[in-house]
Order: sequence, then structure tokens, then C-alpha cells
Amino acid sequence: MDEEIVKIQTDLISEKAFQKLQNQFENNYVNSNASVVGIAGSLASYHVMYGDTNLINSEIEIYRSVTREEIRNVANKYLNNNQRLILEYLPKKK
Amino acid sequence: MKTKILSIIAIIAMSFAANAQIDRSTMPTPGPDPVVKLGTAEKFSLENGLTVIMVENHKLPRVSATLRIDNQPYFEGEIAGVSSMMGSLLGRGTINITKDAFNEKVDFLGASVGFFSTGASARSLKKYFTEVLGLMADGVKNSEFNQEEFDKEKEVTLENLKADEKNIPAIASRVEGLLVYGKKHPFGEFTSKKSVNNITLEAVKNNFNTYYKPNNGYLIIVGDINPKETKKLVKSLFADWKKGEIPVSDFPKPENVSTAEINFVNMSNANQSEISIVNTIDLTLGDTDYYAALLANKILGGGGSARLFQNLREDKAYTYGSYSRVSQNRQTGVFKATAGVRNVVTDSAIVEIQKEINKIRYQKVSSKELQDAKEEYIGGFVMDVQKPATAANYALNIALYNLPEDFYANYIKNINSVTVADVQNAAIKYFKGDKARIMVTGKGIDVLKNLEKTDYVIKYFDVEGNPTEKPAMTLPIPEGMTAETVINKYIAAIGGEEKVMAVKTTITIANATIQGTPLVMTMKAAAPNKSSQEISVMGNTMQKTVFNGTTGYASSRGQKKEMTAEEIAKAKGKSGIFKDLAYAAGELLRIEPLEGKNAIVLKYKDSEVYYDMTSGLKVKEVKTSKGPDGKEVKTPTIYADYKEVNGVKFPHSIGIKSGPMNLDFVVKEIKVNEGVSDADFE
Repeated sequence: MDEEIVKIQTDLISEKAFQKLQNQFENNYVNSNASVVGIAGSLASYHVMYGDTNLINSEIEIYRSVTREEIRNVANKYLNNNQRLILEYLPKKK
Repeated sequence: MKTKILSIIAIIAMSFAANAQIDRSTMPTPGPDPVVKLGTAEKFSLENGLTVIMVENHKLPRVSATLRIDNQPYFEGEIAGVSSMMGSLLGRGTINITKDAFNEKVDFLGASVGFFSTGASARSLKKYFTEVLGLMADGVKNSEFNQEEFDKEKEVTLENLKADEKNIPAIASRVEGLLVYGKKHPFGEFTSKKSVNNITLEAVKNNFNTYYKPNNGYLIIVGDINPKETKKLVKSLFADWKKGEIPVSDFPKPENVSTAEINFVNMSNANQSEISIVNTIDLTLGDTDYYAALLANKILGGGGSARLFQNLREDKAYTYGSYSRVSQNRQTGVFKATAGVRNVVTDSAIVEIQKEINKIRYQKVSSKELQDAKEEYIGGFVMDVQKPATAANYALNIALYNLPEDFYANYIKNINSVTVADVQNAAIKYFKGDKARIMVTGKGIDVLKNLEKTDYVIKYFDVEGNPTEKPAMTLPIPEGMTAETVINKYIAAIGGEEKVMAVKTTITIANATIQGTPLVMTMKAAAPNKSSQEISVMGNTMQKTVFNGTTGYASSRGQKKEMTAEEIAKAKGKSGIFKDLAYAAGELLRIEPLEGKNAIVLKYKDSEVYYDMTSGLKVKEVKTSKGPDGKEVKTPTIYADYKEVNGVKFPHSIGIKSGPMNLDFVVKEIKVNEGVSDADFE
């Protein structure tokens, strides 16, 4: 697991993986706004969390503007060694 | 600028005024029913028989495709499960692409593609649809089946069957299908370990090559499409899908039983009984009373506000939920009312479900109930309409059932025109409580005693639906259990030997009423075997029996009768206080269910004594004696509500059934080691 984290922090993800992410996010975005309930849910969270209901029209542009470099940067910024809690589940002692 | 601000203020003021007017204490009234606009469907056919239906919907930039191969159902027999296995193996690699590359492509496009034995589906963003439909078409036409995947799938299937071996709902449902439709019917057969082991890779390929053909196929494409381009695309992808010869098989039409009967499947591990009252029906989408049947079902058992749920769950607390379902089908439809209920109330639940079925047959529903059911249906319908899957289904149904093009556009209107009389007629026609199978899958030992008290004939079936014998009604006696261990457990349960032996005398005062008259029972006992029992009504002694260790008498309304030598011998053998100690020398008879628990039964002289298998406490004692006419009379005494007095638990509820009389004594007071002298036993 650590190796994978280090990888994402040092190397850029491949163009292909990046395109795949874009596709999957766009797909989710479209499908989450397919029903009246879905639209209401999106509007509510855009309003409460970001104060901008117009994000329902523009949020996808934010995703599209993300670059591979930015993905590497956030991996470096947030996935730090000193911000982890490792929880180990051990079997009960007999 | 100024006007703009003013107008904003005006809007704010208006919205305040509007807010002030809303009364939140009453439910808002619903608006008029919406007019449902389903996109118009464009249809064309390919030479190989595939019918293509396209519905344009430009709301969102996505498209979905559904393929449905509408072959007649067929009987798989020895290799039951072959088609579903074929369906699972579809799309795991084709002659053009490996399984992993296929999945990677779908994943990369953020799309989904799925295959099943009677069709396939694909869904994606508009911009990738051409590619995604291409992947689906490749799987449909060119799927390859290899030994490795086949062996894996077979193992998974067997593993699932094994996991379901003890699964009560799964067994209930397969036996139900078999009995309702018959062994030789495609809807009645089920996949078993044996049939899966008969399936070969060759049989799977054969199934694919025979039945997975475009002859009876429908391809429905819904979404952000240009029909002209899509038509071209479909032609290029599916025109070379080869037509086949699809065999059509005959199978017997299922018949309902002429009188309702119970079909029982014994499952010793069942904690609850699965009940399903089921009959076949002839109901097809588009029948004139189709809507009436839907609404009748909605009122009877279509959800949490329906009658079955309200009665069996909310009122009686028999179950987490009880529902009914009416399913239309071009071959044979089915109606069923179901519940999973606690073992002890299995018989009562059947009675209540039948009561509700009869009620909706013989009494008109209220217009309020009908109105609510309509609202609920229409609400659900309107919510469904926005899903592309629904639009596809509707277009498909219109084609499959030869429905008029405006069938779904008129859906709401048709629902609304149903009357209470229509509902009753549909209920009488389709809900056949008196000619239904009452399927019960449960723990025989717990539920059969009560089921036998109902008027229904009970037929027994094994887990594969074969007729079988009534299951044994006793449980095996665990190794090492003897009359002595049972009594030791009982003594431990009431407080332990030390405390029990320390009890030298007891007085018990208990109250009961008989035909409205209050009775008082006073029992005194002293070690080792002295006892007296007195029943009085309003201070007057009605009955008294006394034994002082060597001799005794019984008196009733002033008539005194000395004990016979035989009676004295018996009385001597019993401890006055804890007569159970003597039972250790008795015989361990059996273990049987009692009021939802298991009881160990000991026989000692002329009594059978029941001890709760879990708690160890005595729950019942049945004494057999000869009545005046020489016949055997059983007198049961029920013990319950154990409470501690001086560290020893005594039952505080004692029920005696003597002939037609029930005496339920509630113990008012128990005194230990005080207030008893030898004079009490003279």
C-alpha cells in the first residue's frame, strides 16, 4: 500500500488512467442528475456546501480542468505519513 | 440600480407573505395528475428477425441499449441451470477480444455492459455509445466459452447451491415453484447439485448456439440519439447476427388444487416459518381487469399501509412484514400472499392471511382505500417514468404484448377509472384462498401440532419437492442426559442444593377465580413429607387434604375421608416441599417442543413432568388418574413466573386444568421456614 502511495506521489498517472478517471467522473455526474430526486440532492449539496447552485451546470468543468500534475500534488499534500491511523484487527487471544 | 434593489425587496416581502400563509399542520393537497409524455418510439426490423425500437430523449447526454430475446420458455430437465450458466459465461471473451481487455475497455469508457441468458444491456455517455454498443454486439454474436471459465462458473454455482442448502426462503421458493407449476414446467424446475453436475461445456455452447439468436429478439435504444445514425449503427453491428432454428416445446398447463391444502416442508433449523398462500392465474398485461387486479393487490398486501401488513405486523406482531403479489405472465401468472412468521404463530398467521383474502373477496373495499391505492400507484408510475430503463421497458412491453401505442400514456387514466366493484371482481377472480396451496416451510416439531388443528389437509414434501412422510415430532436426547442430570439442573436453576435443602417449611397463599368467585388456596409443607392444602371461598373451607407423615385425610364441604393405605404409601414417597428430588429416579422419556421452547419430559409414577431445556425450570406436570367412569383423566399443571424467596425460586403462577375448568392461581405470598407447625398437618 505504501509503495502505491509513493508511486502516485512521485510519478504522474498515465494518460490512459487519467482519461479513464475523466470518463468515470463524467458518467457519474450525468447519472447522478438523471432523476428529479437526484437533481434536488445535487442542488441541496451545492447550496449548503458551496453556496452555489449553479455548480449543477458547471461542476463537470472543474473536474475537466484537473491536470495530472494536480493529482500528484494533492497526493503529496494529503497522503502524508504523519496523518495516518493504522488500525489492526487481531484475533482474540485463546 | 435602484429599481433592481426595490424589486428584490418586493420579492423578499412577497416570499415572507407566502411563507406566513403556509399552514404546516395540514398536509399539502396534491396537484393534478401529470400528463405522462413518453418519447415516441421508432421501430424497424432486420432480416434476421431482430426488432429495433428507438426512443429519443435528449435530456441528458447518455444512451442505453437493452437486448431482450423473447423465446418461449423451455424445459431444461436433466441439465436444469444450463441457460443461466450460459448467461453468466457470456461476454467473458469473444473471438476478437480477451475477457480482460473487454472489461478494461468498458471500465475505461466509464460505461457498463452486461449479458444474461435472455439478452444483454449497455449504458454509456453519448460520446462513447458507438464503441460501447460495438462491445455489446461483439459479446452477443461472438462470445467464446472455454473450459477454464466454465469450470470456475460451475464451482461458483455449486458453492451457491451449497450455501442455500439450509436457507429456508430459498428452499421454500423452489419447492413452491415446483408444486405450483409442476415438475415438467419450465417455471417449476430448479437447478440442483445433480443437474449442475450434468452440465458440460458442450451443453453450454449448444444452449448458446440454439437459443441465443435474433429470431425473437428486441433491441431497445433509449437516450440522446439521432435515429437515422443509430439505425445505421445498429445495422452495421447486428445485421450479420445469424438467425437460427429455435425449438418450441410443449409443457402442461399448471392447475390449482380443488381445495386449499397445506404443503409442508420440514426444516429443523428454521427459526421462523415461511408461509405463502399461492395460486396460478391467467392474467396478462393489457387485460381489461389488469388494473383492478393491481389495485386489489395493492390494498390487500402491496406495502406497509396495506391490510396484510397492518394486520399481521402492526396489530398482531407475528412478522416483520406480510405482503401479497400478483404477477402477470403470458404463460401462467401467479398470485401469492406471504409472511415469514414466528414458529408459534404459524397457524394463526395462516388464519389471518386467509381472513384478509376472504375479506377483500367478499366485501367491497372502501372508496378511501381505493383512492389511496390509486394515488400510490400513480405516484410510483410517475417516478418510474423518468428512468430510461422504464422507457425502454414500456416500449418493449407494447411490442411484446401487442398493446396499443397509447397504453402507457393512458395508464393513469385507466388506473383512475377502476371502481370498488372492479376491485372486488378482480379479487374474486384472482385471489383464490379456498383453492390455493398454503406453502409452509418451517420447523415441524414446533409448528405441526397447531397446523393439525386447522381444517386443512397437510401434505409433506422434502427440500426437493418430493412427497414424503410427516417428520418425527420429538428431538433426539443429547448424550449424557439422564433423569438425574435433568433434576440436578432444575435444583441448580432454582437456587442450588444448599439453599434448597435449607428450606424446611413453606406456606404458599395463592388466589384464583372460578366463574367470578374468588378462591384462596393455602398450601403448607414441611420436610420431609408433611403437607396440607386448603381451598376456601370467602373464608369457608371448600376442600382440604392433609398428610402428617404417617396418615392423612381429604375433606370436601365437611365430608371427611381417611387416606387409603395405597394413598399413604404414595404420599410418603413424596417430599412435601420439593417433590422433584424424587423424580431423579424417574425415566427420561423424550424432548418435545412446548410453547415455542423445548421441554424435557420425565415420567415418574403416574406423572409426566416437563422441564425447560434451556432454563432447567419445571414448566408443566401432567398427572394421569382414573376417572369415575374408569377412563384415564389427565390433569395438567402449568408453572410459570419464577421468583426468588429466601434465595430459592418458586413459581408464582400455577395453572391447573381440571376437566373443563381452568384455575389460574396467582401466588400472593410465600413464606419460608416460618409460621408452620406440626399442628397444621393434623
